Amino acid sequence: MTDRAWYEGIDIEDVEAASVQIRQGSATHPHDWEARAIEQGIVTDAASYHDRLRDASLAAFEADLEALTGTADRALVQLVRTLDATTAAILELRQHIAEAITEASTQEVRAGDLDTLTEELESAGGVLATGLAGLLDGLNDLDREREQLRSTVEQQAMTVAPNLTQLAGPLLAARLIAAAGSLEDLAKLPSSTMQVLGAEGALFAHLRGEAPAPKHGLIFTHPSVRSAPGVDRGRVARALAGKLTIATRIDHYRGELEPTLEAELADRLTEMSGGVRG
Amino acid sequence: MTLPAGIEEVTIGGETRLATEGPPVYGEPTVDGWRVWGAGRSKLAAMIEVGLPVQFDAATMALYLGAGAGTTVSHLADALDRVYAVEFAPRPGRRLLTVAKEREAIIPLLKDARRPETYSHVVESDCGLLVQDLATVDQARIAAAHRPFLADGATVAVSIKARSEDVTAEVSSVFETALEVLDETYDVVEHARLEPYHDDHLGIVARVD
Repeated sequence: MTDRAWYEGIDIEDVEAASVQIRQGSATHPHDWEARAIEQGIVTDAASYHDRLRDASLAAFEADLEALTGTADRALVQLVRTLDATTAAILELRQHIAEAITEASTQEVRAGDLDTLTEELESAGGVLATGLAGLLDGLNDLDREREQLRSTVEQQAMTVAPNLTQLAGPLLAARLIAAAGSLEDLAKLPSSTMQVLGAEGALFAHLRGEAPAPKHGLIFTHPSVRSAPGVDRGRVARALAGKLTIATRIDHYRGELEPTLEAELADRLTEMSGGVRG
Repeated sequence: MTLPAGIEEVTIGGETRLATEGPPVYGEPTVDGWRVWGAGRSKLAAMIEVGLPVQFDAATMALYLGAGAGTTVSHLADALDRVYAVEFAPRPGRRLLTVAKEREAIIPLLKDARRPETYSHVVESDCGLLVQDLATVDQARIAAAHRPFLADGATVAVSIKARSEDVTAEVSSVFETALEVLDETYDVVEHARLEPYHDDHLGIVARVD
């Protein structure tokens, strides 16, 4: 019998310590914890056991809530913005280095792959190599950090908006929330706005009468939109935006995973590729 | 229909409604301190309304899985000494916390019912009532996994939401499977659909041998 009660090893009056044990503890089986506490003289009677347990569980619940919500979507917004800024910074510096090497050599060097860039820089040699090698190493490290940040963003997206994440994928979900400002803001947007979120330039050009209406914004990165043939993209984007809007509202107002959504989206998309006009 | 102890019928606006005695929490109508317990907002109330023998007179403690915003829990807490209210979603959790603060009997736990080991160190092993209202897959299996929390003779009241199990499957076959799974662990006493209060839900009452 190795199971330990929530009150074991601490002062049962210490609400803070007790709430930590409720949050983090576990046991393979439940037991007669109350009777044991009375037997061991930890509490005098059932009523005082109940009071201690209730104080500790309320504190634990509150702490768990705080950890899971409130600032969670704001943190996600900051994380994904930082991720995108980091990606842009890495790319810009790579391009600078690639350009520097190209100028010094006869052939064109592309910025795409860090490993090739390192090789090219070595073969270029001279003051260019001594000057830039350290920076390129730093960029390699930064790239690894970015991967780390990316997986944090993915986990956080799942916590903040499980339904939206399931339908849109973690990065798109995070970017949509960031574009709206918060999960609540996104939940309050009409589906038509969700559809063109991130295409504000095109949208306002359209409203000035200078361009056709944009068919999609950020959601263009969703595989179903990107892979749709040009003539269908508007409809696919519209249908997808509708489901994403529903998913976001469930995430915000109910907060539970609704397993039926994914199948509904799949059905809708199959229906459209089958030629049914939507 | 015999009602469980602590639950009575009141007449309001010419209609007979279930009620429990306690301070109101979500704007429900009250009659002489008795709060109306609407079957449309509570699976457990619907189970009683459709005539399922939800009896827990011997129980003083309940384990509630899928407490949601605490509507049903608040009514149970009027009738029992202690209700362990397990809810995993933070959003309804806020509401549940408010309800729990106002009612001495509620022990709120922000835990996942699919992982009973995360609250086995808190919950007693002789609860007299298990209520389950989850929107997830494997609802019957989850209910069966909570046998260690229950005393002999305890009552199990589970509502199975068909749409959460499998959207593509026939509703009745989802219910059949759920009944079979539950019957392996408990004695299924009676079951009934919860229409018109809740669509595509099956209420099941079972006992621990």
